[in-house]
Amino acid sequence: MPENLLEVFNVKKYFPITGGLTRKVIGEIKAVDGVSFSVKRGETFGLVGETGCGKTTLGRTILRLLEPTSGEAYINLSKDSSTISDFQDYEKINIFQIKRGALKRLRRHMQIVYQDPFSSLNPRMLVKDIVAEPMKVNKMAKGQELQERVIDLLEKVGLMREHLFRFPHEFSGGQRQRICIARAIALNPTFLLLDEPTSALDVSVQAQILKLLNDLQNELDLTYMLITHDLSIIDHMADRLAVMYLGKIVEIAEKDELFKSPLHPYTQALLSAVPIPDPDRQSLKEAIYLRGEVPSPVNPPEGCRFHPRCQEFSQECEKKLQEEPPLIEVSEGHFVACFKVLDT
Amino acid sequence: MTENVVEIRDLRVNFSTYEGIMKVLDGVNLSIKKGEMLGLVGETGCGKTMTGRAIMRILPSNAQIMSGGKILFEGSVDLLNLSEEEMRKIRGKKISLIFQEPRRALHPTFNVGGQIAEIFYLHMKEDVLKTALQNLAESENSTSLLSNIMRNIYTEELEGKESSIKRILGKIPILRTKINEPVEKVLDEKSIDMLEKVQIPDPKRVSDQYPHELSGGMMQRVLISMALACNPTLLIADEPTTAVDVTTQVKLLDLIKDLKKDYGASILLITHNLAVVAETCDRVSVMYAGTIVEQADTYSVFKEPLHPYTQGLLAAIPIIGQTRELKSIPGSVPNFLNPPSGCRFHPRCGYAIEKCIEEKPLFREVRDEHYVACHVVE
Repeated sequence: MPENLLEVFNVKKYFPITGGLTRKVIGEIKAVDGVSFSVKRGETFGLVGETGCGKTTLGRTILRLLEPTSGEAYINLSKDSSTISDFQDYEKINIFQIKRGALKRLRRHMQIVYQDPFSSLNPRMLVKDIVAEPMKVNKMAKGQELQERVIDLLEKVGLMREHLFRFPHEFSGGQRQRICIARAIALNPTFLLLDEPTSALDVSVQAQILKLLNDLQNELDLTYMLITHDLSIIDHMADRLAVMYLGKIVEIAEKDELFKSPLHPYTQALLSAVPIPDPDRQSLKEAIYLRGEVPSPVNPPEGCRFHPRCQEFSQECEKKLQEEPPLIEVSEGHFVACFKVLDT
Repeated sequence: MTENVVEIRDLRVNFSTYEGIMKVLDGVNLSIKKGEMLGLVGETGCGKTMTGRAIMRILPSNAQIMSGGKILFEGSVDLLNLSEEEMRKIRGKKISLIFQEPRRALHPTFNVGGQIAEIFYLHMKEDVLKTALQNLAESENSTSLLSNIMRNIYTEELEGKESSIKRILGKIPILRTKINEPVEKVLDEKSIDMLEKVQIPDPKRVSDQYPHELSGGMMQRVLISMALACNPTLLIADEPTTAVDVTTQVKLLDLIKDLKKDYGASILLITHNLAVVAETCDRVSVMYAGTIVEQADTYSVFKEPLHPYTQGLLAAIPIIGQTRELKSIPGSVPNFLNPPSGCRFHPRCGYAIEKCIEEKPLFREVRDEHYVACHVVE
């Protein structure tokens, strides 16, 4: 059984830009442009980046909610976790290649919690139907058994039996996110993609949800991939993390290592810009200013994508503008894509 | 002696809705000192934005300000007693507001420069006309017929009269443009100058651009420049950095701090982000369900919070570099239609006593300059 649950190689997702009368493709938005990483079994893998860097697109592409432009992604499911006969024989499943029927069965193992609990729940469905739907679709339970399973799930996420016959609008944001989580874990998934699970919530509720997610991970042996722009949440939740900039991963490392000694200039700038709720620390005084704005993913800068804004851009970097810096392991488990770091 | 620029005393605002009357603000007490930056923090729906809007008197139409409350501006003027006419002269000039979402606060079909110019024309018309007259006098063909006519028009307008020559000539499109040209030029210069002050690169080009061409950070800068255009005494910044990324947020916060120094304005920073407050503000007011529960200097609020809600809020936020278990506040924010009796926090409070259910706690000074509304705090 390999250590990695999920392995992703050189994934690209381009969105076409059409124009003119004939709707001809006149350009491409390179939302995700060659991303490779792996997620270990049982860990929380964080993915951080600013708005528009492609982190949500990457997450959705891996789940094949979006069709990838190119690349490969594998999930290593253990035999006992897959109860479907198709998967009995092989462990390594190529997510981007499998056919529709098998994909539907694979979805059981890979679930998602969406960003906005206000738009990800059908307003016309009762809570009991929302949570039961995935089990009905996958024919996992029916009748009395289904009902009991729904109640069990609701209690697991901190809701009660009396919430069964209510509509989503009757709940607060935090409670709705609990319903979304209940729906996501209904099929006993192995892998759960959390796409900004708390960005729509207040801090006191956020703490509740983060605690719930931690508890569920221990209880159900889940592997999380946590997408967020909030570094303090990553610090609280993740074991390892990747930093994304303009469709590319610039750095991957263990959480402690990355927060203590970030190597990529962008990671350094990002970390320095996070305000800290402690008047003693006043950390923003040493914040690194990034020049200009994030360039458009339609026409990303040549070579290292960060170079127009990089605070450490030098003449040596300028010589290498034809090639993109590769993501290379500089120390145990610490990957960086920066020429400057690679030289030293 | 620092005096208070704004002092809010027992402000109550009710909203009438189909379901009943919502007591959205229930006795807000707040003071902003001269030249300071006060952070107003609280969770979604606690009334932070409504407090800011009440100061500007731009509450939604179903809101009603209850009698008994006071918003004292610069020590003497009660903003709640002013007529709409008088209020209009204060808005944007003495008190200005940076809205939450820059994309919605800017007009999509006017260019940025024009939108800034509007403020100058509205509040500083005299200055603008005077500069235009001066420019006319200094220009080469100052003796030509047209500039004489223009000078006449401007002088008349300066005296507050409607110019009859302008009314006639203004009907002819080419002449109308010609007549307005000097004023427009002054306005252009002023707005480009303003854009430069908020550190927008290439302000000349940006002033001709439309809001959709700008990024979120740039739009927020434009809004800041509009807010500061008339050198206000009080600047209300309503979640100015919520819609932008952290790397942009740093720049904006620094900009606001620098401008505060240059302009000497007091700032009310409304936000839900405690970290931003800790980094920037001098004093903090914590709001819960329509009331201010605690007000003190930033250090005391973060290091020795007295109100149970403040304590709970601080224990619930993850801090980078501190591994600790997050403690959430049980329950959720109460409904304004039927708020809890007495102290509105009592159903979620771990220290609640009998008195908390019956009686609303007074907002009192417990330590030096440290105000708390809680029965339990000694």
